[in-house]
Amino acid sequence: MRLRRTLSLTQRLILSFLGLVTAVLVVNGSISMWFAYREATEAAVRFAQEKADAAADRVAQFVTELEQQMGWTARADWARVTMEQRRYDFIRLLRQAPAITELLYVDGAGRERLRLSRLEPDALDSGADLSADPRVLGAREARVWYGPVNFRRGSEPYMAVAMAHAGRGAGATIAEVNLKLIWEVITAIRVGGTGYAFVTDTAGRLIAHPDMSLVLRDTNLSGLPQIAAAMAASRAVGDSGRVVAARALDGRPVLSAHAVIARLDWIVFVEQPRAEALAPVYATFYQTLALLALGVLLALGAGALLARRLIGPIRQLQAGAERLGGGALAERITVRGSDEIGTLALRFNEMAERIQDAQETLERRVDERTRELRESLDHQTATSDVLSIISRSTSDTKPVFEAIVSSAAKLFPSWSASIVILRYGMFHFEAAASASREDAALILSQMRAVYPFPFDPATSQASRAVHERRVVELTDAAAEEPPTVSRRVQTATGFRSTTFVPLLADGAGIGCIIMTRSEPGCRLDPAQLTLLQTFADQAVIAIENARLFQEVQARTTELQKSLDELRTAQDRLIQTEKLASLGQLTAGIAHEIKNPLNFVNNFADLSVELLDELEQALAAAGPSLAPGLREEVADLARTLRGNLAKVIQHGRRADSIVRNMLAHSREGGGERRLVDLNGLIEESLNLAYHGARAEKPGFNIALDKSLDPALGMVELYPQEFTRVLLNLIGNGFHAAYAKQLTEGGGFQPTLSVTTRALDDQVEIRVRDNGSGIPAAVRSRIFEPFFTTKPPGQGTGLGLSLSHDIVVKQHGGTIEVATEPGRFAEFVVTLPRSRAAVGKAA
Amino acid sequence: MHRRTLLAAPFLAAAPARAQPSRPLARIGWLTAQREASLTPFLPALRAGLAEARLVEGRNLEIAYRFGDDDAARLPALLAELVRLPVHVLLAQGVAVAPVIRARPPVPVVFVMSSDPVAAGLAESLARPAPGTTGVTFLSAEMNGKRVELLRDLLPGLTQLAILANPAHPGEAMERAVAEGVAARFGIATAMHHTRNAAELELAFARLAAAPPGALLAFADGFALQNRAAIARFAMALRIPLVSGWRAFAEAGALLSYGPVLPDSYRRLAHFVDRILRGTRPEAMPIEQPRSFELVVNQRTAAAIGLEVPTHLLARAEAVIE
Repeated sequence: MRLRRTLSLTQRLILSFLGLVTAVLVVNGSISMWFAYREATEAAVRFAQEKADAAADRVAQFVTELEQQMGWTARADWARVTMEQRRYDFIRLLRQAPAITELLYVDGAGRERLRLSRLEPDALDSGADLSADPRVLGAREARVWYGPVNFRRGSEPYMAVAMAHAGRGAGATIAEVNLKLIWEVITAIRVGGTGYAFVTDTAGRLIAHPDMSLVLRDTNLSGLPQIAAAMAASRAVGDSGRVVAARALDGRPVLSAHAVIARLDWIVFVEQPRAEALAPVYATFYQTLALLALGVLLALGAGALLARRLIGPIRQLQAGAERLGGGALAERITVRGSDEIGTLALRFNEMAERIQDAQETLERRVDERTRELRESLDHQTATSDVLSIISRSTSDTKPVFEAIVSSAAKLFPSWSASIVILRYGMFHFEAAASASREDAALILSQMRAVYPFPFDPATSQASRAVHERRVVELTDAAAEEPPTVSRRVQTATGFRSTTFVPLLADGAGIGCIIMTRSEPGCRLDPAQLTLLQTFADQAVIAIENARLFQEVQARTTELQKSLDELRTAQDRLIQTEKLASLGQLTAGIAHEIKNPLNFVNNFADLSVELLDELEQALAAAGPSLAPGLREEVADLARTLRGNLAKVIQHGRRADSIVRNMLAHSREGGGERRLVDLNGLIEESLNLAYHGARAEKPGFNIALDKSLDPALGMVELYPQEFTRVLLNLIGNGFHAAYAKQLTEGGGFQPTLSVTTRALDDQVEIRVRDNGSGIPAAVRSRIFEPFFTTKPPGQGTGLGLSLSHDIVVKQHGGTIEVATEPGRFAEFVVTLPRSRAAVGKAA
Repeated sequence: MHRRTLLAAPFLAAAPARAQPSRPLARIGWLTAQREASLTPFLPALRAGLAEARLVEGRNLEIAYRFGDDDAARLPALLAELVRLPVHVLLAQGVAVAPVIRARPPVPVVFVMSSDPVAAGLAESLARPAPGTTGVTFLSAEMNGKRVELLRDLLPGLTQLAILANPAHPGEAMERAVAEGVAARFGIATAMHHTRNAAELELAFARLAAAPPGALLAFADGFALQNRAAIARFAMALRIPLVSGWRAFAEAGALLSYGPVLPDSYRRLAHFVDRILRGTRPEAMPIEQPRSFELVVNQRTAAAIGLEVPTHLLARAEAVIE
């Protein structure tokens, strides 16, 4: 099937032609062969039968001749002729019939009267009684009697032929016939080329055969099927199937035919090699085959010729069609002849022409369409480029304007593009681009020279376009009268054709895209204008974006600031509330403790007085008392006095703490007034320094003052605020000194005080280079009673009170910055005035 | 039919011609105790027979002739010579047959002899020759009785018959017995003259000349055949009828000859040679007897010796030499 598909038309044509002719030839040949075979077979059989009959006739003839020759001696008067005459007749008979070896004459009485032999001496009137001899009896029974074949000396086949003489009681002539002489008859029978005949008796004994040796050996052939069949047939009636295929004695296949000689009981066989007998059949077969082959060859030739005749033009056609199919549309098939193929070629050519036309049109259209599509794509690409730039630069319009002008310059290479924006009544130049670098440089320099200029529809076309909110096209700037800005630009750059595309935001013109070109009278086509309007819209979007962005940014900053302030205020409020409640608590506690403490102090004082009295009394009772007792009592009184002194000392301290605690509950002690803060700070510093030196004689510290002269007068409660300063400075001294004690001489304890004037605030920083405040402590330093000093040295109320004073009384803030091991810095900010406090709140 | 043959012709012609395959070179040996001259009429017959079988001397056939030249003692040496040669088939003739067959040579033997091979013990029967042998016999013994009868028919008053016989010839005794038996039946006295060689022949001639018999019977053997002319001349000189076996005698001047047609038998030898060369075993082919006999009468001799040949005898004769 595949094969068939791959066959060319030529091959198919030849094949079908061949198939047709072959089929016809084969059918014809087969039929003819069949009939020829039948005919030839029948002819061969007929031939064989005829040959067998002829051979039988010849053999019978041999015997018949013998009979006829013997007949001479069997005539009726032969009994009366003399013995000499008889002998003479016999001699003559022997002469005539070489097959007869011996002749006998037996008279009517069955006695031998004459015997002639070729080998033995003759016998005349021997008188031997032969009346019982089967030959004599046979002759009497049948006029001519043929004896059975016997082999003399076991070799020579002999047969007796006895012939009764005519007349009653007549004798008989008996001949002993040497059947070897049939050999000549048999060998003379030609059956085809190599066929042969042979004779057997009905017992199958070979009587005559071309191969004499077989006969002489007394061969019995009854073993051969064809002989046995013939023997059987000879006994039956009819002579059907006288021709059979068989094998000869030497095994060769033969066609065997036979004929029976009834009177002799002999069977004459004719055998012919089967190949030879059937040679005509084979010849017919070969002829048919040859015809077939010849026919096929002729068909092949004719098919090839026809195919070539037919295929040549078809091939040309095919090749032409292939070239056409391959795209060579200009190709034309050479037309030859006006037959179907010629017509087909003609049609092909016409078709090719039409296809060529169609293709050219199509190509043109495709080109156009492609160009349009490319333009459209370019436009879209440019638009999307601009869009992407817009999306990237939300806060800045510059890149967008540059992208727009460069896209426009790229898309319309003969035009230069620029953007101008109207801001506060003035046109500002934003960006320009041109396909050529010279033009770009030129337009940039000119634009910078011309812009900005004020909005005025009378003198500038850009203004007109913005004003009228439509595209303005200027075909020749040089013809502008009165001279406009464009005219000025034209004079400088040589641009004559100009198109102004307005940027419209919410219906209001905010700028222009300006396209310029050196040649006069040039216009942009609608698609280009549409694109430029898109660009204009995009520029507007960019501008709007930038504006919105800036607005959002400002609003956000504002909000953030408010939020921060709110948070600070809230924190402060919480802290203040907390400390206030703590202050009240402290004040409450102090109030409650004050009375009992007064009792303790008063009774301690009283007890000292009582001890004076006791000593006086003791001195009074002096000698009355035993000196030991007195001494003991005096000792006890001294001890009591010491104890009481301690009670009084600590009572005083407790009293001082309670007073401090009560200070929390005090509301705005003293009066608020304008104070020179720098002076207050110096005063406090001095006081603290000397106080510290008085307390600790070895105390020394480097003081670093950096006071801002612009600080000026600040409205505050001087007494209270001095407490704050003393507290902070004292803490600083203590921390630095403590560090010096631990670090040793190499360390220079330093305390710096810095003031700074802010807008409506002042800032005071107190910084020491002590060991700083650990992070765990920092959050608690403003709580009452929290102290890091050793017990007895600090009340834990200093910073708590300072916080109270700064925050609650003055509306300021106090914060701490520290780095453990290096420094601690307290930053106090105060509003300059009460008004400032209110504002800050 | 004609048309078909014409069409088929080129195709059939393409097939190789079915020619007789050329036979390979065959070498046969010819062994006889006689002289070459004694076989003069027969060897051509043999060659003719071989030629019929497409065996031609000088082309595909080589015949090695060995003649004993009347010396039987040379036969073994000649036989050995032929066997050594070697030969494909050995042809033995006359006196040489018995020694050859008895020597059982390793080659097939085809013989030609006048006497009965069965009687000579050289074959079981005519149908069954000894292994490796076959041949032709002339059956001459019986014929001698017939020859005596012919002489008596010719000379009814015949009383004295001289017989020339070669005792060296196998079967001579049987021939003699037959001849003497028949002669005795006719009341004819016989006298035997042995002629083994020329000297004996001269002696026999001398004796016969001294007392001429009524007729002379020469047993047919190689020696007699060789000297047939001398014998015939001698008989003619004595004016006595001479009878013998073979036509050559009559042709040489004998009055009568009666016997087988020898050239036919010699020719028949070629048939055996051919069959053997083609692969047939010799013993598969029975020994053949002569198919035909001939009586030859020499009328010239009859006239020369003043004898009239009876009509019935002439009628019987296959050939009459005028």
